[in-house]
Amino acid sequence: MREEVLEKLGSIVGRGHVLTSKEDLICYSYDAQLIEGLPEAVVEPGSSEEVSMILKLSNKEGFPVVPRGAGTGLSGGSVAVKGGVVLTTHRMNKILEIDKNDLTATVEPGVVTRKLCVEVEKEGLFYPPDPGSYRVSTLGGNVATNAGGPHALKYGVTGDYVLSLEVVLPTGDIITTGASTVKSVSGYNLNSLFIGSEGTLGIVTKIKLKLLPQPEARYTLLASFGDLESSARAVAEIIAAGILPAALEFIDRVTINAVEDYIKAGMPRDADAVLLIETDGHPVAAKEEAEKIIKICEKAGGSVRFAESRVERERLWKARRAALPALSRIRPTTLLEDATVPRSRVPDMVAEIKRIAQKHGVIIGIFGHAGDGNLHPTILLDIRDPGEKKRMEEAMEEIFSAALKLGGTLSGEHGIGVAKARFLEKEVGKEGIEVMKKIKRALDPNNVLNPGKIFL
Amino acid sequence: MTSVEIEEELLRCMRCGECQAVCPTFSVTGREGEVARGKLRVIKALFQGDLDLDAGVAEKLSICLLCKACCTACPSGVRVDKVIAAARKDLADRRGIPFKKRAVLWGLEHPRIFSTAASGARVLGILPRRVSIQIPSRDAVPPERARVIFYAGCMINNITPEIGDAVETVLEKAGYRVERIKEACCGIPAHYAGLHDRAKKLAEKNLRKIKKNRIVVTACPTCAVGLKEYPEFFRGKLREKALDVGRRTYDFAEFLDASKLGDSLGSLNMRVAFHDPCHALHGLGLAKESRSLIKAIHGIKLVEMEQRCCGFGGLFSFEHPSFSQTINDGRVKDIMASKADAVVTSCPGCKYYLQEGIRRGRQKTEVIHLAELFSRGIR
Repeated sequence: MREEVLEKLGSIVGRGHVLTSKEDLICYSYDAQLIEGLPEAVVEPGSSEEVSMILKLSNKEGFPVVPRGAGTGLSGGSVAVKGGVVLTTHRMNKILEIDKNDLTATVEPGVVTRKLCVEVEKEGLFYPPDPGSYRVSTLGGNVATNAGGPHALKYGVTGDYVLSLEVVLPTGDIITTGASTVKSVSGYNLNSLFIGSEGTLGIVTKIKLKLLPQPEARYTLLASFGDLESSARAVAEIIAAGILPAALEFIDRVTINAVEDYIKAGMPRDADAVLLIETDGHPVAAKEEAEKIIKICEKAGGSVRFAESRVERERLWKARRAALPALSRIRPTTLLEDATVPRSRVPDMVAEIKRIAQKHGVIIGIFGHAGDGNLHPTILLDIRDPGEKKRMEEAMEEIFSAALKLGGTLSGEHGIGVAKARFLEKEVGKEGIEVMKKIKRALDPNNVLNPGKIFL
Repeated sequence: MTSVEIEEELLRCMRCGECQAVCPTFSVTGREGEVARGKLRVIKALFQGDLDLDAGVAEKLSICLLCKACCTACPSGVRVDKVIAAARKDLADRRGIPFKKRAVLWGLEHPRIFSTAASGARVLGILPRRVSIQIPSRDAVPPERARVIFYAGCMINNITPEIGDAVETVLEKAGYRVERIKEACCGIPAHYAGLHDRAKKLAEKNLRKIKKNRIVVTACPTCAVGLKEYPEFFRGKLREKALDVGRRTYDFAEFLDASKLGDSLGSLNMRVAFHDPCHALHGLGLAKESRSLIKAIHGIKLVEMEQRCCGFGGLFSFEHPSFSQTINDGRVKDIMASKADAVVTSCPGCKYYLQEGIRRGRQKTEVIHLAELFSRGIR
């Protein structure tokens, strides 16, 4: 990048907020996936105006701008694969308002998800979207990837909570989408255009989120099943009984054993599947739902552990949360995917993944959100072994195809980014991609904002 | 740590970024270069020859307190502390270490001069004044008692001697015969600055002074971690000795059994907040122990604060005073919000640095070591 361009960037954000040393650039060359790309500079704007000026400069000078939150994405979405500058949002990290009357929170994009959860909880309120990385992920990143988590089954994903956004467009213009009201049908729903756009259509600089009252009670139970089919039957019957649990999580045998080796959570090693189920709401209703779920699980052949105390509840969640850490300790490299199928097809998908693992001779642990069909097949390998890497890539490709064949989608919550760009056409077709490209061209005529993502 | 072991650790980082949630230096700047994930990536680049070990890289690697919080938080269990110490060793071998660090380390290895300098500083009001505590008559102790070595460490010997007095008082009261050895610095400051050989020499000195089968009690979690890390330096017989000493080394908080104080333990009417020293929590895995001890004293109300580093980090506070103070300011805010009469901790470094922060913030909350709390509670 030319010295004078760097100087112009420095005059926008302050010299101290433009990083150019090689060691700094290396620190911004990755996210939580395996893809890397070295930016030419890192800029740390402190306001929407500064973001706007950076984008105007990028159009004039023709360098790419790649927005980045905490860098916890799993698709390479915030990696500067075409060079240019990485734009970080960490200085825009204020919770501007928590409105108890309107049940809304207004935040800047760099606010860490957990920070908002903790702050609204102090007011007796609840912000449900809880991606796995919520302790460090930013809300701006959550909006950009439309992140979900275990709560998605009952409460939905990030996009379901967005009321209004302030967005800096690729050309540098600043717009506000949506409204502060629960209902709004004024014109196109522009919120949904930017939610999940992976930083390719605009940079979100302010977010107004909907909040809920904190549920009064939670009940948690762990059901283990000798075979996969019984666990699937239990899931189907819970949903058919009209119960929408606050979480309905799944752990397969490979993962159960990895977790037991790691923390000894007390799950039966010979179980084929374990479900972690949580109900919440009014104490009486939530308890009644939990009791119904216990009966359904037992009828399906499962054995149930009910958490009587907060401590026991924490213990059960610990088993589920340990899934990824436990798997990651088995082999040096961990590749976490998020292919998603309609929930009735979860058992078929699990069977497919197992078949694929066997065929390619790779270890795949499966856990995830059984309630919404969003599984996390996790391939364990040593990336230094070229043969193993090749087998991993083949297995991944087959997993994507299997998900699509079962009526599912490539990505439930991580996004397409770079990692899955070459598979997108399989899901949305040529025409689908063309529509997306038209939108992209209309908003970003010079292709400066996060180029090289989503579609090739 | 061998280069193969370092490579394994680097590879195990799955770059989830969970270390951001607990890293004290990241909390100051929000920059990736300040957190374990970024540092590991930089070290990997050094390894692969993509990066030269220049002043910028040296600076980057120096911005870490080696508090080990990321080691606890890391889902894959990457030993970030070992990797950073190894990288700093490489750095020190090739580039040496900054003057400030060198000066303090020299002082630690020359305790008499350090101690004189510390007293001078105390007289000038730079360091807190020594508080004298009455040591009970030695006759009052039962004749048949287990002998323990109290390893005080540089901070207690030179900056916060009142903690040492309190430890001896409490242990004697609990029925132990407390011995002291002619100790050398535990070696952690040198080790974590990358001066592996100097740390090793100090380790050897201490190991030779500690008699076989003796229990060693420390009141500084960093020293305890230091002693427990000695096996890393040696092979053969000395390694055996180091392993044995490591197994017999206890932090005051885990060693003291409040019931041994019996009736002599009175009550204290205080609202206290407990500050977890990073090395107690992440180095020794101690958290419950201190809390149960505090609760064993009648009349005490214990309030919890969110876990956060005090910002000291030994040499870190000399090398990066502004980072150190910003972290410290955050901790002082927590302490004020807790509305505690006193903040109790189990580390002399934390005590010293929290006192400094509270003084800088013109506040009055008292900071005391767990051992001092007990010595006050003893009738």
